[in-house]
Amino acid sequence: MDILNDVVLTTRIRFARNIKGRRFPNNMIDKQRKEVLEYISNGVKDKYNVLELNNMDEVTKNSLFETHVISKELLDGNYSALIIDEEKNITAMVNEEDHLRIQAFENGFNIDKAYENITSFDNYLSSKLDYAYSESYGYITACPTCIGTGMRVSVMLHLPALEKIGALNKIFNEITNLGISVRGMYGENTNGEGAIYQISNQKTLGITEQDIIEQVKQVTNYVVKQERKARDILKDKLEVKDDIFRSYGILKNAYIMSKKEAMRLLSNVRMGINMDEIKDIELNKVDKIIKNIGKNTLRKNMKEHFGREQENVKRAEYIRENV
Amino acid sequence: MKCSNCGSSNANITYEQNINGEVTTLKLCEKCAHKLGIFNSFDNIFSPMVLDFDYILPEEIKCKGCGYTLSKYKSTGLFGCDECYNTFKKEIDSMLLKIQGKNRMLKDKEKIKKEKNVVSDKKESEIDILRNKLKEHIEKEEFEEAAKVRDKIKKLENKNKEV
Repeated sequence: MDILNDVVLTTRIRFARNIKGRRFPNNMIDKQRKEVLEYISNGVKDKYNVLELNNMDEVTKNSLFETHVISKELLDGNYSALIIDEEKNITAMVNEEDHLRIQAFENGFNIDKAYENITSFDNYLSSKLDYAYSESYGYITACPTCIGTGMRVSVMLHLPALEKIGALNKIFNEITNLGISVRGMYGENTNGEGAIYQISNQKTLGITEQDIIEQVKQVTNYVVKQERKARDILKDKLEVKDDIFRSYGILKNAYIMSKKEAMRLLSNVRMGINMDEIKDIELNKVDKIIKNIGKNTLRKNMKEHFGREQENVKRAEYIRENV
Repeated sequence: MKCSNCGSSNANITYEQNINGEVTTLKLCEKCAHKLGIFNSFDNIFSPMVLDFDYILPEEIKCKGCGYTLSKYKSTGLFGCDECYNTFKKEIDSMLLKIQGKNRMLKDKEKIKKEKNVVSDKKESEIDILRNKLKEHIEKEEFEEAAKVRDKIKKLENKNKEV
C-alpha cells in the first residue's frame, strides 16, 4: 500500500470520550479529577498501566508534548494521566478537555490501520467504562465541536513546494470549504514550521465515522497530488537545487542551530530527497530527526541535562551525527 | 421641621442643590419631593437596578447535574457535564446546527451494535424530528420544503388529538 510518505508524515485518529454522570474536567475540582482518574485506572488495570503525569519528570513530560503524544492541556492539569499501548501505537489522555482522549498514530498515510487499532481499543474501554452517550447526540463531549462521533482524523503534511510557489492559501481555502480545517504543526494558532501542516475534519456530528474517513482521504489525496505537481515545477530550477544542497551542507557542518533553522533546512532536504536530488540519506532518517530535535526530546535521547544556552549546540551535534 | 414646600407635612428629606457653587438646601416631605421630581420614594431609589437583577436570575437556568449555566458556556466554550446536554437541549440544538450543520447523530449501524453502554435519554417523537427538520429548512431558506414539513407536523398533531 502506498502510504504517500513523500508528502504525508503521520496519520492520527482521535476519539473524545467521557464518563457518564461525571463533570467534565474544566468543571471539576481536584478531588473529582482524582475520582475520575481512579475510576478509569481501575477499569483498565487488567491490561494497562495508567501513568500519572505528576509522577513523570519534566523532561519526559515535555518530550511527550514535543512529539505530539500529549497536549499542552494535559501537561498543565492536575491528576492528568496517560495510557500507552506501544504495540498498537495507541495512547489515551486522561482528564484532558474530556475525560478520555484516545489517539492512534501511524507513520505516513494509513487511516485504515489507525482506525482499526483505535476502534478495538475503544471497544475494550467501553466494555470496562460507562461512557456518556446519548441517543440524540452520540458521544457527549465538553465542547460541542467534538460531539457525535467524537472523532477527529488528522493528517500531517509536508508541503514545501506549494509553500515556495505561493499556492498554499488558495489550496487551504479550497479544502476549508470542503469541511477540512488546516493548522500548523503544533495545533491551533501555530505556523507551519518546516512547511508542515495538519489537516483534519471539522464536523463530528450527523456524519458517520466512515464518511469522515472518506472525506479526509479524498482531501489528502488531492493535496498530495497538488504538492507533487508543485515539486515537478520546481525540479529544474537551479535556485531550488542550490537551496536544497546548501541546506544539506549546513545541517552536516553547523555547530549551533536553533529549532526554527533546523526545521527550515530539514524541510529543504526532505523535499530534495523526494525530488531525487539527494540520494545518500533515507527519508525516514530525516523524519526521525524532525521528530527528535525538540529541546526536551534531545535531552531525553542524549541522556544529558543541558541548559538553555547549550540547547542549540546539542541540537547541531545531534543533527551532525545523524544526517 | 415642616416641609419648606407645602409647610404642612413633616420634612424628612434633605435635598442639597449645587448650581455653580451656590448651594441651596431644601427640607422636604416625601410627597413634595415626589411632586418636584427629585425622586419617587426611598423604597424606589434603587428599584430599577434591583428589578433588572430579578429579571435575569430566573432566566438563568442551571444544569441539574452540575449547576452550569449558559453564560458560563459562553465564556468558556465548554459545557460542565453530560447532563448539560439535556438541560440546555433546546439551545444546544440550534447551536449545533450552526457549528456542525446538523444536530442529531447519524447512526452507524455496525458501531451501535458494538456499543454496550448506551445511555438512554428521552426518545424523540416523530414530531420532534420533523420540527427540527422544519427549523433546518427555514435556516437554509428552503421555504417550499419547510411548508411541506409544516403540513406533515400539522397532520400528525391532528392525529394525536383524535387519539
